[in-house]
Amino acid sequence: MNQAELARAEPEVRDYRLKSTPKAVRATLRTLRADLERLGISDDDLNSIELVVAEVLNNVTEHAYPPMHPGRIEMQLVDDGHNLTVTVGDFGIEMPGGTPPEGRAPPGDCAFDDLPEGGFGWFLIRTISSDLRYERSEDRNELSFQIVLGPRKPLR
Amino acid sequence: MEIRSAQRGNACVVVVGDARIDASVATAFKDAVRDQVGPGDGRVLLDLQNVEFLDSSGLGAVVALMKLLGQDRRLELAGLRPAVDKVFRLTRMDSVFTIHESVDTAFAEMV
Repeated sequence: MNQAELARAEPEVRDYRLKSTPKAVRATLRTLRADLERLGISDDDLNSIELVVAEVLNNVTEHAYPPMHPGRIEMQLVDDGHNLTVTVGDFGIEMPGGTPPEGRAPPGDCAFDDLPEGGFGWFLIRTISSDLRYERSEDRNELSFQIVLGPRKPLR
Repeated sequence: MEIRSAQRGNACVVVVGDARIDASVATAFKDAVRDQVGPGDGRVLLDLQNVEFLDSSGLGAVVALMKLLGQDRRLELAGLRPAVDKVFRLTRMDSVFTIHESVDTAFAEMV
């Protein structure tokens, strides 16, 4: 067992609280990346994690709360050594239909003028993450998912 | 947004100076690039070597730019960093764009 694995004998937990504004999302992503880098997570995994978390936080910022009235977002990351579990909570409106959108695959062959300019977000979330769950309880939305972690960088 | 452009032969090279093309700047990015690309029929290359992060909104803006320029003046991309490259690959948009390793290789390939 190497140093990095030993260090994960106890799960590493990080909590974040932010306002649902683009500026706060950017700042949180920067902090999150630095925190996970310190745990030895590889650059490739960091890229995936930052992308998925950005998509999820952008969705909350744009759809759960009215843009003129930002609200609170709570996020927890748990690194158990093999998987990173991300839980994002907010107190905005419920997801339409009570379930996260499917996120269809972009069409493989489509006419130039029909190329999609949006709708990539949920596709990316669903492609990169696994075990995606959504729950609405009283006034809170909670979305959670996992990202399988690859080999780590040696800890300095 | 920090967007610069330079003429290289008949081609227009647009360099993105910012490190992030995300939801908060996607529209500004699209407008700034559009303003830099003049009329004409030369190649248009978007140099992304400074961009460390692009999300789905940023990708949507790049696709929108390509559609704005049209089929006869197809937008080319250069200098994709790993995080940016990943977004194009996962969404299969890498098959829609001509992607060069760098601006220099983009011109070398033409010779």
